[in-house]
Amino acid sequence: MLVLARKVDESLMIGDDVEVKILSIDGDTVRIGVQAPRSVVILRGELYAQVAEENRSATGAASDDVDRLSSML
Amino acid sequence: MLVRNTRFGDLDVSEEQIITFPKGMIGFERVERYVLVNPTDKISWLQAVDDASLAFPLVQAPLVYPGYSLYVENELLEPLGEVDEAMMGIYLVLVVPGDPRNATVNLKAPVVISLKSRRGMQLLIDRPEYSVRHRIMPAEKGA
Repeated sequence: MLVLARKVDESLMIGDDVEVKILSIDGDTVRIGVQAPRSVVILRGELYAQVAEENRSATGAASDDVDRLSSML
Repeated sequence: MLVRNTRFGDLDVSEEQIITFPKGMIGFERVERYVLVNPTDKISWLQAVDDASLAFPLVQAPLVYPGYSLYVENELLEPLGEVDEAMMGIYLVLVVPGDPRNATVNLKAPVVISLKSRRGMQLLIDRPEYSVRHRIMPAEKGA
């Protein structure tokens, strides 16, 4: 992993069209601005893990329970 | 071809019925080929072609969340190939526990399927009003 030290108002480039800028630092919270083309998805890293976990839970469904739910909709 | 699975009995499907997820489902990136079981029912199943026990129950988004919107740029739907909105299904992944009244859907990660290109993908939409565990039935009072 590449590690860089940056100060407030400094930025870094990822490729030639994604700019990540440090806006402010307050205790352990860093505000970051990202400028990127509209086709680039920007998400909090923990969202992937959360969704993968929900997907895993979804695959555990029993067809009987799903049939019962279907009849309630 | 025969799709073996642990829930519905062997399914005899034609190649044209297979839906390809080029990026897989989140957390299941290597599983790319699926079939949609019971596509016209309120709840359908996204059954993996190559993994008998892997299936995701899906519900059509408008059925459980009227006005549900994807809020995505068209560029993000490129993996679907040619997109015809009339032939695009928007589904939500259901988590169904032993008591189905407690079922939830994940509003942050809809599954979009283009019936025209037979391709699908799971999107990530990080909006504060979209819960990953949205109850589809109100909690019972006093229960």
